[in-house]
Amino acid sequence: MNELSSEQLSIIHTKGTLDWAYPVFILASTAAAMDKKVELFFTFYGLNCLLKDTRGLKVSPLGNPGMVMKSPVGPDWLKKVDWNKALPGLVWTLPGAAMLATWGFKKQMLMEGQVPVEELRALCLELGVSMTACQMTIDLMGYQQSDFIESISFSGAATYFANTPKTQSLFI
Amino acid sequence: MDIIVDSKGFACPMPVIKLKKALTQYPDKSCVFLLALTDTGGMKDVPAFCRQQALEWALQQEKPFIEFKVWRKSDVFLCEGGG
Repeated sequence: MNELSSEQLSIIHTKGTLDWAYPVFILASTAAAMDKKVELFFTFYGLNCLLKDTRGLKVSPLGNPGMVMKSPVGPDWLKKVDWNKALPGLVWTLPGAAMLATWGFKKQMLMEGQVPVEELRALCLELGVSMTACQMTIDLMGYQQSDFIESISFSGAATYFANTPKTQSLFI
Repeated sequence: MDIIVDSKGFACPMPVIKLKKALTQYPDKSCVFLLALTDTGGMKDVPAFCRQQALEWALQQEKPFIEFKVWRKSDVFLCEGGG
């Protein structure tokens, strides 16, 4: 039984921000590349990660003290400053702050050799990762099935647990 | 046949994903994969991937970029290696 479960991975994803989308798709694609059966279940704000339009995936240092916020452009001394520590949290409530932080985060990720999150998501599907969007939260939040990317399925918690009875699960 | 898998400039998990895709694309046992990468995490991740996938590997170089040679275990090799 243990041997079987080590060949499977399941992640229940509830976060709707860009920074949290990355670890899920990175873990899922790697596990799939290592021939594990991977099931991703997206619920509540995690649904954002499956939308065709990913512009809603943002990142903000507001209420996120662990986030390292460095400028991807400018002279070296400037790039070393962690703005999330240097500036008071109030700054991140200003209009445009989340947009700026998201722009910086995306640029930083690309400079570090990461691929855009849409590309990573497509890679997961290509590698056979199975993705399910929670129907209850889709209804709750007023989404339509047509808002979501192709090749995913829609169901509830019972189907998820029926499909992953012995699987190692991570709740993110 | 040597298959070049260039993953230079890409971070985790791309080196392993690119290697996996190349392995799927070239199923022949005689294929040797030359994986080039700059992601230092790959120094441990690529051998771990190979171990799990029952592949043979050898570190060819570390600079100016990391290069692994990866190939499938052949029955002949196993006989020789196992005595």
